[in-house]
Amino acid sequence: MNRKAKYPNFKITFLIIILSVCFVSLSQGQGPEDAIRIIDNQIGFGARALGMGGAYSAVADDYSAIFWNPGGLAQMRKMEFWMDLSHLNYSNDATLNGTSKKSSISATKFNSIGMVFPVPVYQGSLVFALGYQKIKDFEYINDYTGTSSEGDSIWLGFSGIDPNNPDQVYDFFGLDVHKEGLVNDGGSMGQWSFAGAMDVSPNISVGVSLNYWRGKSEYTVDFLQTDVFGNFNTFPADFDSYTESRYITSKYSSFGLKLGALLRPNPATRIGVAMEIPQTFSVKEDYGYDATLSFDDDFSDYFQDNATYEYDVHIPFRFQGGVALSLGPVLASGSAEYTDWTQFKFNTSDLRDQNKYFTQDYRGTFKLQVGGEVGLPVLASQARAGFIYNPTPLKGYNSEYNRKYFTLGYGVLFDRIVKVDLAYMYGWWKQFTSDDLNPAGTSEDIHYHKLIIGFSYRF
Amino acid sequence: MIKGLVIFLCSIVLVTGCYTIVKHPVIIDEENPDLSYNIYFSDDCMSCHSSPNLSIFPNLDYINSSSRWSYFYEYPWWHRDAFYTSEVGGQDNGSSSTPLPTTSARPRFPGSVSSQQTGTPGTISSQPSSPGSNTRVVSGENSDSTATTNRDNNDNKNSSKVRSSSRATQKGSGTTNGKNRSKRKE
Repeated sequence: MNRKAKYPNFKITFLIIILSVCFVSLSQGQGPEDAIRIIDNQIGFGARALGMGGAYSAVADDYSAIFWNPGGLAQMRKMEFWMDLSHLNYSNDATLNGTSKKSSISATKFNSIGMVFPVPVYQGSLVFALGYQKIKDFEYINDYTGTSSEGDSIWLGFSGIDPNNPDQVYDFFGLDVHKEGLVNDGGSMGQWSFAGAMDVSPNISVGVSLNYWRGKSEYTVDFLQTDVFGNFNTFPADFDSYTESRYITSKYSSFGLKLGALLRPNPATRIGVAMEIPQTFSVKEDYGYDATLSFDDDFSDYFQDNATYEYDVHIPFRFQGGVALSLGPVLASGSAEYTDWTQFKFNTSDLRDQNKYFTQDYRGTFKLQVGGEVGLPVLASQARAGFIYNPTPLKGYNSEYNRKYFTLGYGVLFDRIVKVDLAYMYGWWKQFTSDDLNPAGTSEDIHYHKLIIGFSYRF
Repeated sequence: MIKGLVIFLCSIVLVTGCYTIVKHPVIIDEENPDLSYNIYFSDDCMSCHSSPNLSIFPNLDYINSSSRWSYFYEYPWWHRDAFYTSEVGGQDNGSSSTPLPTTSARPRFPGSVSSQQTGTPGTISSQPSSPGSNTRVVSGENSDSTATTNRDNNDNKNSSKVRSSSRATQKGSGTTNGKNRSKRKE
């Protein structure tokens, strides 16, 4: 006799209690990582800039200056129409307790479109720019499989399954179970920007860009947990399997301001400095799941829920500085960006208790970028290479967890007015990911490939 | 945030002054202060300024030496007429040493001649001609005909006559970096 026949009211009791457990966990579901991810590992845009490893704050002489250093826009003497496309491939070799599985995800995106309008001047420079650009990809995949006994009944526990003791919480954990999960994320963070720049002295340009940030991330999880080892055979915890499909669609919006300056102490040297003033992101998350819990006696129950959460995240000052040197046909550039991740904050009252984790678990980081470009005598072209070292904002992780990118680029000028730029980025790092469904977590080797093609028409 | 931005921008302007010039100062004749001229972008900067010094980009030799790269990076769109009237860059593969055309071939105000005034780095130098300055403005034959020169009066006889003398002067004086007109027209 199965549960339903033996205990006619079982399902109702079970369902109500499960939902109440889930609701408690959901309302506390947002954590520091939800705030950090908004701008963490932000790549930027522009095939020329990324071909030079993003070391562009002291170069910034095209539309992409609107992102790297708005002060650099003042160098422009021509109107420019700009656009670029990108194709990325993100692969993850995930290991759960010794079992590895590879997966990859690709995305082709329209990356940016913009216009630059230099105002005719007799002396100095006055330039405006307007456009849209995607500066961060949310693409992520983690297809894992393995055995785990770790867990926490707060996250995946079930009460009410024993009709004689409905308050007793049972979970799958403590003994080995088989887990499979496919975690997918996708989307972008973009900026609608308007910028202005001017020369304030023969060798100093300043600029400002007003940015309306808008982004969307679509995160999904398909999860299966089964008692393949027969460790859960005793009523009422005679679990057989648990499956869940979950989604979190996050929408981000914020107004931001970036100030920049470009100094030219001599004809061979440029110094770029930029600063993003603190901003507040409004985040709206739509959450939902469908789950099925099955027992050995063929009884199964189905749960679903959805909800919407809104919260605000405060992001502190970010500072950038760089130097570019011209040596014959070679342009060499380096830049650094400082972000103090400990100063991130939730501005929403019921999440303020999470703010202590920013100082406890995170740190300030310097993202370092170096690159170079050489003019080639063949055609009218430029070859580029660069390197990005982007430390993880988490404390206590060794250098393998820092994000490293090697970049290559090539640009060709056609008929003096059209420039086509290509860039390739290869990134690699380790990371560790866990959630309520897989508390043991997966150790991940990430390989990132991105191809960017940019088009610039100056007239 | 907006308040902070406004304060920041105002501070920059106050501290640095208004370096960028969108409108050229009116040129006043030294000998006849009643005679003044408006200056336009299509006027011949070289008739008063020795070098427009358009290059504010890094000192990369392939940009400086190639008209194709120079045109793409440096040459202002409001001077493009001069570029298209020249033959520069037609077969340039980026490695040619053909220099960038430096300015329009159409002087718009009468009687100007080049001087040794040096352009300000990073800009098209343009200083008002005023008493005491080393820029010399020579008025036309009918200099008593007052007037502000504008696009409409370029074809009058007086300015036409003076224009030819201006062109001859520039051929002789040349410009910095060897960018004189005779080379540009090769």
